[in-house]
Amino acid sequence: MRKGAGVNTSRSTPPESAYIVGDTVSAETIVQSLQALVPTRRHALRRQRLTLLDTFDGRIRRAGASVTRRRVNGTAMLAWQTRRGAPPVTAAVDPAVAFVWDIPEGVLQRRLAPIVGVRRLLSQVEAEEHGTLLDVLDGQGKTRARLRIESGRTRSSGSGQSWQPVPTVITLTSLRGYADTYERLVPIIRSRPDVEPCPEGFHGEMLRRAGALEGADLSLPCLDGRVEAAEGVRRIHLALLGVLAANEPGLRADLDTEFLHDFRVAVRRTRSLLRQIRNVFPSDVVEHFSNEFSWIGRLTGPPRDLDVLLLDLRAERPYMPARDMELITSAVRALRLNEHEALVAALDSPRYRQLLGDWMGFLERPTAPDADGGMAPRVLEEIVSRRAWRLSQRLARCASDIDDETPAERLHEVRILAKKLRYLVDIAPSFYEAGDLTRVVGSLKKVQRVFGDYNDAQIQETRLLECLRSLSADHDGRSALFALGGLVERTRQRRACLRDQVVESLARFSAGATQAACRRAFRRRRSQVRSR
Amino acid sequence: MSVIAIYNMKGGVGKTTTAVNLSYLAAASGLRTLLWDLDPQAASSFAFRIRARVSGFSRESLRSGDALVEAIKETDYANLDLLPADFTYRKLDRLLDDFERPERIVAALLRTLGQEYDTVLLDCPAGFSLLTEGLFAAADAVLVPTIPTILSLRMVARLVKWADRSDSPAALVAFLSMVDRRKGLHRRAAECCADHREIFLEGEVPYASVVEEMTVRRLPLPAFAPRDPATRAFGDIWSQLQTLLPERRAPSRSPRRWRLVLEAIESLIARLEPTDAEWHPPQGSAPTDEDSRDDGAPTLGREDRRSPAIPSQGPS
Repeated sequence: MRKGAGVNTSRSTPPESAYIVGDTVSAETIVQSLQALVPTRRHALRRQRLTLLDTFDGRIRRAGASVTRRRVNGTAMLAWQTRRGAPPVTAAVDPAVAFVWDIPEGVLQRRLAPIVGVRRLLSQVEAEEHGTLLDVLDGQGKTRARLRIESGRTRSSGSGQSWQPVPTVITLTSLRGYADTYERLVPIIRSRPDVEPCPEGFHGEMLRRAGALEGADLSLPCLDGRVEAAEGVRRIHLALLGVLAANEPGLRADLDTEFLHDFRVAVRRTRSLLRQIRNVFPSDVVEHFSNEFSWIGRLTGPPRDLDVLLLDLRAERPYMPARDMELITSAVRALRLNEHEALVAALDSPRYRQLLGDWMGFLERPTAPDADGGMAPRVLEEIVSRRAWRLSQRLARCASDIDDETPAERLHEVRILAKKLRYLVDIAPSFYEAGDLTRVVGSLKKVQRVFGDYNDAQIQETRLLECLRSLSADHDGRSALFALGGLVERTRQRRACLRDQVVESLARFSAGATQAACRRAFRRRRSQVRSR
Repeated sequence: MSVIAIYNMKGGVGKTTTAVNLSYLAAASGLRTLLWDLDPQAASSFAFRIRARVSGFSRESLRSGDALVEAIKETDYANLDLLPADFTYRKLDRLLDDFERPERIVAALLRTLGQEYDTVLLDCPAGFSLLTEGLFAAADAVLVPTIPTILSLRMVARLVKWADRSDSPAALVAFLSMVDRRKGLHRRAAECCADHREIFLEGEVPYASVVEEMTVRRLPLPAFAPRDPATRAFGDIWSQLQTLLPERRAPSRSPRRWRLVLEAIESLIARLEPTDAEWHPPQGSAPTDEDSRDDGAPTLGREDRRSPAIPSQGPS
C-alpha cells in the first residue's frame, strides 16, 4: 500500500502523513465527510498568529519538528511540535528569545538543546492557522488516530511580502500501537478527489509557500570514484565557495558562532585541498590562492578561539558568582569584538572581494597545469587514496615519537596532519567501504578532539591572562580577578589532563584495527583503481 | 530516565489512582512518560481505555523486552504511553524465578522500556514478590500510597526495614491516601505525618467520590476535575517528587538515613496508638481484627514497652 509522504514507520514513532486538498473542496466539507465515515470526536483549532522559527541550516525541520512562537494572553509562548499531531511542548519565553539558553530550564529546553545546539533561532515565516482536529475513536471511546484539517496563510518574516494563502492540509497521525487504524484510513483519504501528498507537512507547506523552505544545499558533492581529478576537485572547490558565500552574511551580522565556524572550516578545507591535490591546477594558481586563503583563514582564527572561550565560560556560569562572571565575560567579549571587526574589515576589503571573484572565475574556466609540473589525467580516487595513505602512515608514525615531554609546537604539527587527513577523507566518503571509513574517521575524530581541546586550553589560558591585565586596571573587579585566576588554574589543569590523552588517542589511531582499515581503504583502493 | 514504582503491599490503597494521575501530570508537564500497568487486574489499562493484552508475553520477552515494547500503546494524552497489563502477569514471579538474578532482568527490562521516555511509572500489584524486589533494585523511587491507619503505617515501616536490609538504591517516599477527615484516627495520622516530611510527602489525597468517579468516566482526575482538592493533592505530590528525585538519587542513602526514617515512622505509630491513660478496655472483650492480625510488621524496639497499651481484649 502506498502511504502519504513524510511517513515514518519506525517501531516507536507512529506513522504520519499529510495531504493537500485542492481549492474545489472546503475544509468543512472534508471534516463532515470524514465524520460520516468514522466515529470521531471533534475539536476546533482556533485561529492563531504564529512565527515559525528554525536555525540557519534548518536543524529543526530536518529533525521532523517545528518550533513556533505565539502570543497567548500577552505572553510569548514557544512551542516545540513533532510532526505527530500531539499537543506541543511549550514554555513562556522572552519575545526576543534567540538561543536555547534563553529558554527557561525545563522540558522544552532539554528537547531543543541537542538539536539546535549553539545556533540562533531565526524567524522563518509569519503565519496564521486554524482548523479542526478529529480524534478517530474505537468502540471504547479510545483515540486510535488523529486527523488535523488545517488552513491558513503565510508570509516571509520581515520581508514585507504579502500574505500567501495555504490551502487545506489533512494530517493523519497514528497513535502508537494502533497502526491498523492508520492503515485503514490512508486509502480512504487518498481516494478523495483532489488530494495530493504534502511531503513537508502543514508547517513545511507554510515555509514553502513563503519561499522559505528551499535553503542553499551546502553539502559537498557526492563524487563518483571515476571522476577525473581536476573536475572532481573543481566541483568540491565550487561547493566550498558556496559555503563561504552562504555563511558570510550571518558571520558579518554576528548571528551565531556557527556562521564563523562553518566559514572558517570552508576556508581551511579550500586551502588544504589546494595544497594536497596541487598538480591538477597550474602551480602559480595554487600558490596564489593558497596564500590568499591562508590570509583570510588566519583572520578567522582569533574570533573563533574567543567564541569557543565564551561558550566554555557559559558552562562555568553555575559555579561562579554572577557578577564576576559578567565582568570576565564582558572583557572576553570586548576582545572578541575587536577580532570580529578586524575580520569584517578584511571581508570588506578589495583584496577579499578580488579573491572571491578571481577564484570563482578560475573555477568556472580552469586552466590546465603546466606541461612540466602537471600530471597525466588521472581519476580523483587514485590521487586521494595515495595521499590519504601517506598521511595516515605519517600520523601513525607520530605515535612513536610523541610522549609527555613533546613540545606544544610538535603537537600542533600532529594536529594539522590529522586535520589534513580528515579533510581529504571527507571530500570523498563515497570512495570507501562504510565500515573502514567509520573506523578511520572515528579514530581521527578522537585525535582531533583531544588535540583540539588541548590547543583550545592553551589559547584560552593566554586569552584569559589578557583579560587579567584589563581587569586589574579596574579596582572594582578585584573579586573577578580572583575568579579569573581560578579559571586560569582550571584551564591549566584541563590542559594537563588532555596532555595525558594525547598519547592515548594517537595510539588508538596507530593500532592494528585502524591501520588495517586504512590499508584496506586507501592502499588497496589505490591499487584497484590503478589496475582498472 | 527516572523510574517511579507506585507500590504498597496492601491492596485497595489507591495505587492505580495514583499511577493514572501522576502519569497524566508527568506527561502534561512535557515529560515523555510511560506507565506500565503491572497489575493483572489491569485497572490502569481500563482507566485509559486500553485493552489489557500483551501478545507473545513469555519468559523470553522478559529478557529481550521485545513483546513488551511492541505492546506499548499511546494514550489519548500527549506524551503519555501505556504498557498494558496482561492476565499472564500473574505468572511473572514464576517466570522471574527461572533467572539466576531476577533483579538484574527487571533492571535491564526497565532500561529497554525506558529508552524513549523521561519518566517510567509502574503501577505495581499488591503483595511482595520477586518482581517487587527487582523494582526496589531498579527504581529511582518507590512511592507508597498509605491509608492513615496503624496497619498501613506498619507496612511502610516494614518496607523501610526491608529496603535497608536489601540495600535498595531506591528512594522510598509515602503519602497519605484516602484520607477521611471525619475520622479521628485519620486526622491524627495526618497531623503526625506532617511532622515527618523526610518520609511523607505533603500532598494528602482525600477519600472522595470524585476519585471513584475516575473509573466511571475512565479519565484521569485532572482531565475532568482539574480544580478538585484530590487533583490538587496529586499535583502537589508530583511536584514534590520532581524536586525530591534528583537529590534522593544522590548517594545519600546511608544506613543511618534509613534508621532515621524507621525511627520517624516508629514515633509516628507510637503517637497514633492509644496510651494507657487514653485506653481503658473493659475486661473480657475480644480483640479487634486490626489489632490481632499478624501482619509481620517489623519489631521497632518499643513493642514491649507499648504492649500494655494494646488491648488484649476488644470492647464488649
